[in-house]
Amino acid sequence: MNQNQSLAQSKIEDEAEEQKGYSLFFFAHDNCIRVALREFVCNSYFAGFIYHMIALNSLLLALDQPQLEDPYQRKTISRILFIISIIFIAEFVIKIIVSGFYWGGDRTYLKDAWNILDFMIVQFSFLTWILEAIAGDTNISFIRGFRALRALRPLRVVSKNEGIKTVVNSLILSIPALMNVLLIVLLFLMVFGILGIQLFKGKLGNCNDLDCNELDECLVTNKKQCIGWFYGDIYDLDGETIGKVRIKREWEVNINNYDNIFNSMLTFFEISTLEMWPGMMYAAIDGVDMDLVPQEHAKEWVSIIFIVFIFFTTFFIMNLFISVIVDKFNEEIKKRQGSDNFTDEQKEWVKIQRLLVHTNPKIIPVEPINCFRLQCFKIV
Amino acid sequence: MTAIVINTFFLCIDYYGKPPKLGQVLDRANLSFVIFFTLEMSLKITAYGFKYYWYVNWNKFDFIIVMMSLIAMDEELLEKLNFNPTALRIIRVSRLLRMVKTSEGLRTLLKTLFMSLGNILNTAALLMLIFFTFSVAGMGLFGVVEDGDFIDKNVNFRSFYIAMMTLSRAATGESWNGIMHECTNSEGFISVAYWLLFQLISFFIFMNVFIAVIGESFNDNQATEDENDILALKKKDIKAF
Repeated sequence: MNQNQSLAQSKIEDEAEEQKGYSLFFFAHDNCIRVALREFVCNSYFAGFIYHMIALNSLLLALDQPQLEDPYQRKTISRILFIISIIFIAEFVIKIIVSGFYWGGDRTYLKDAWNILDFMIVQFSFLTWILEAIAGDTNISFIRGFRALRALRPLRVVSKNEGIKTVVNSLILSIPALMNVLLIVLLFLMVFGILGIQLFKGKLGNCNDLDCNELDECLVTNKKQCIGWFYGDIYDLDGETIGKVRIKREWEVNINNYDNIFNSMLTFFEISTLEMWPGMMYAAIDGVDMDLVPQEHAKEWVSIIFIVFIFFTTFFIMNLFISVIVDKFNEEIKKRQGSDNFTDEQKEWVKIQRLLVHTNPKIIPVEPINCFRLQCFKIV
Repeated sequence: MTAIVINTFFLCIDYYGKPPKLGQVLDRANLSFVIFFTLEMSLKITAYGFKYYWYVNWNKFDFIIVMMSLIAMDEELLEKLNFNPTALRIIRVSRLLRMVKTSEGLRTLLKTLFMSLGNILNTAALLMLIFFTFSVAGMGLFGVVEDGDFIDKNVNFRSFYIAMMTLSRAATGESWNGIMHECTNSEGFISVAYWLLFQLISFFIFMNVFIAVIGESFNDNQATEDENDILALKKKDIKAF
């Protein structure tokens, strides 16, 4: 107990040593408020309290589901979330008073990368309140998008858990290499996206009136004819025709289209994950010309483009992803273990040490003296 | 060893709607296997003495399995104790794991899995955290999306559990783009950003991190074994010591 106290005391003194100068241009390092708050923050109960608040927050976020109809529950959850937000803001304020916001010293609040995440979360909750106060209605899509950012809060656990922190750190350090791979992917998507626009723009639309005669001559062959009304079949649950109904003709465009660079690249990205790509390929094959009704197998050579694309992206670049991550990840882990800049002798030493740990001496059982046991021993 | 293979064979024979006679035969076979393994264990214990027997980790494993099957033998007693015997029946299956110890290669693989467990758990915890974040965000963004071809009563963001399920299946790539397009129809551009980010993080990065972690410990394991060969001389010294 005594030792713990002196440890905490020395930690506080260390912190105080690091935090010379004024925080927020106002609090001197021996200002009485700052000293009191410093002791408060260095208390181990403080960290534990914040940790529990994060857990409670996560739990409430999970409970706050759109299915929830009961207004009383909704209100309670949103009130508790509001209180937790205020606690987080208070924590943020205390911490910047203690260690300074950004300027002055190397140990100020924003110089620690994990604190930036905390800071952003606090800012998001502020911004959400402001937006809600201005707009009032909380169901506008934009505000809902902003409110969704509160989902970032559980990520604060990462900075409190050493094991997860190691994984995240090595992931973050492999980002520069990943960026290069991403750039190559983007380049390929761009090239094929542009190709997609030039080859398939406007060709994937179709009229909802698919009425054709036996000679394959259709009533509607292009977009201009796709107006007015037609009589379509209605089906019952077994798929049998039970009558006709008057339907308005409409020109429908396939959701995976190549009409602009954004859609085109998105379609090609979806193809690169191999999800439903045959459908997209056949849709492109059927396209005849701009604003014309597609015909089956109109341009079969088009399939080559898709196969080449899959060959390059899925088989080639996605494996680049794997190798870059595997490579960088392990490099980082090695670096952190410090075995990167050892001399040969040091490596040798580590190996022998490791060997010593791994060698478990084999126990050679002694032959028993008892005659029954001896028989058993021989059988075994 | 042969006994284990035969035991496996008998476990495989079992099927739903088997004739009662076969069931009887299987029960008898199970009984005889339990007796056989118990005999083997007691033989080993008498031979080596319990202390030495317990020293080898694989023997501990054998011991636990045999004890469990002995307990599972008396199903009536278990029912009296209000305990579900199915859980213990699963232990029968774990006898198959005994095969692992017979082969060096299998043992290395199992050891690799065991050694990478710590890092794998950390990575899995992080992945869970990211899933959590995305599903809470998804509930906020897409909670009101109507049913369609892809979004239905099993795939939606209306409650936390279902949102997690939706994301887990999307992380394996299963028709994620269909779900994305339906979310885009009602919510607009933000759904594309959400889903692309999710795919990038879960499918492209995390699945590969798992590969990296396992590969790393496999290499480590392999390296240790190489060292064992290289440093055989030193090992002898150590042993002599």
